[in-house]
Amino acid sequence: MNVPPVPGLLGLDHFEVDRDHPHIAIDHDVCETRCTQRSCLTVCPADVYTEHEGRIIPDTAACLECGTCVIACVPEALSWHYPDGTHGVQYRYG
Amino acid sequence: MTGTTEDFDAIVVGAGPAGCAAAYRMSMAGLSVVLIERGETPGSKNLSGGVLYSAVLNELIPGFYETAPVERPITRHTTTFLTKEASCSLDYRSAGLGAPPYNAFSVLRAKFDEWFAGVAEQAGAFVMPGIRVDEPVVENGAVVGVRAGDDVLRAPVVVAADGANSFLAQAAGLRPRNAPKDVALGVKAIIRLPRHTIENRFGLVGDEGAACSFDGEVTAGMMGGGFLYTNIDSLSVGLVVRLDDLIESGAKASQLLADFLDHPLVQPLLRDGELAEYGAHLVPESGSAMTHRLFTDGMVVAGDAAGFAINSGLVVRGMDLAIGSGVCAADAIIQAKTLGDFSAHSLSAYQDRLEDGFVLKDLHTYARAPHFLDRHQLYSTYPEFLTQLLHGIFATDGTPRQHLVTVARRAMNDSGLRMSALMGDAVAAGRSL
Repeated sequence: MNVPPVPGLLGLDHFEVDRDHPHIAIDHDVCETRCTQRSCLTVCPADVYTEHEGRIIPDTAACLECGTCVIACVPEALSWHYPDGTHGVQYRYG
Repeated sequence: MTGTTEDFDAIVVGAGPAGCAAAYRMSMAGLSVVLIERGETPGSKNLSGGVLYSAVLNELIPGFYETAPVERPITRHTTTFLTKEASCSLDYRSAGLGAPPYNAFSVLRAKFDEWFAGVAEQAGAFVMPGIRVDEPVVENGAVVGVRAGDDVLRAPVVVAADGANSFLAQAAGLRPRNAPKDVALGVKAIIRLPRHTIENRFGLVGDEGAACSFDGEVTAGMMGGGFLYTNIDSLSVGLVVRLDDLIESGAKASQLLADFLDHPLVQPLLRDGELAEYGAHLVPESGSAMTHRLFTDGMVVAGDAAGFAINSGLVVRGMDLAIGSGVCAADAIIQAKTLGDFSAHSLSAYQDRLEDGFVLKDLHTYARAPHFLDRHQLYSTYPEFLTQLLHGIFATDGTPRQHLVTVARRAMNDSGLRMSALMGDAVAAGRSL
């Protein structure tokens, strides 16, 4: 089966985006001084994290809320919690 | 809603199988229970990478499959070793598994969890979907409720059934944050197909279903495996890979999934299917549960939150352990209520019940499985050996045939498998699985 790249896969899903309250925040000082691996760029199954001019930027809108990044990331660099109730991904199959 | 009086006998956080089972059981015993779920509907945040082994649910709710939105009773289990271009399978089928009370079902969690929460609600539980619990409320060292935004709900006991990340159990000091070796990342696609196509393609009669696991090429040599389950009119296809391996390799789970779905021997199973959903979820590594504390003053932890999952390499279990632990949690709390004592000492009955029942017995039985499965030859050398061995047996190219021993020796040489390693792995497999 021909599988589309991640944005196409995420396009299959339903998200209730909470633009006013992003649920991911990066402490760039910690991120840029203590992390050498930048695993977030590869482990996130939704490609939430991208790098722009050396800085990691999260796109919180299409997050699958698995929590992988929190475990892979160096402590203190990432503030991550679940989106407010009713927001975020809504699986129709699961 | 803030106060110092207790709003409920028990607060259950998370309306997955563990939380729903606990809420149902306690409600049936007459306790006032609130079941809080962050998804807009129960199940909308949940994703399964396994099938539901259903004996425990059938004990809790006899004949549940008559009304529950299960997909297909599983009558066929296959395990396939994959290399880049060949495969070798074990295929177990039994008509007996297709008769009540059944053995296992494929389920889609958005439907199944919503049903289960509804059953708990009918039993008297107050179901509150769309509410994210932020933290436990702790007073004098005991959990006395939960905070959700500006609201505080109070109860003498909280069941943390909030999934593999369990921020509640972490905040209550019951477990540290997960390390990459403690979890695996699962990614999954739902592929829609007409039901008769599924039945024809997988050799199924009527409502019967198949559960297929895949080892080898699927995870590019990393610890983990692929799965495919038949639903009524869709397939759940995905893979699970341990997070420490994934981080180290720099591979992307989404790409592994795309490669799996495009594998020349998997692709025909999916042909003409329509992609309908993509999801990701963490899975506790079996064995991680052994290191967690499961109760404290005013709190017990159940299901994925407690790390209750088993991956034996052949069988992946989570939902049945979740339901079993939810029942044990409920029974311990019902007992604690009659004693009027929700201290850790009283709630230790939860641990006793888990150890007396199948949950911790099974986790102990498979405790060495993760260690065994952490042998990278399982994901590369063995699939290569098996497929080369069978190639040597079945492929005739006009050259004279060799005896089986000679074919096996050549397959071992070609795949880099050593006899001493094979013997060691066989012994370890016998002990661990």
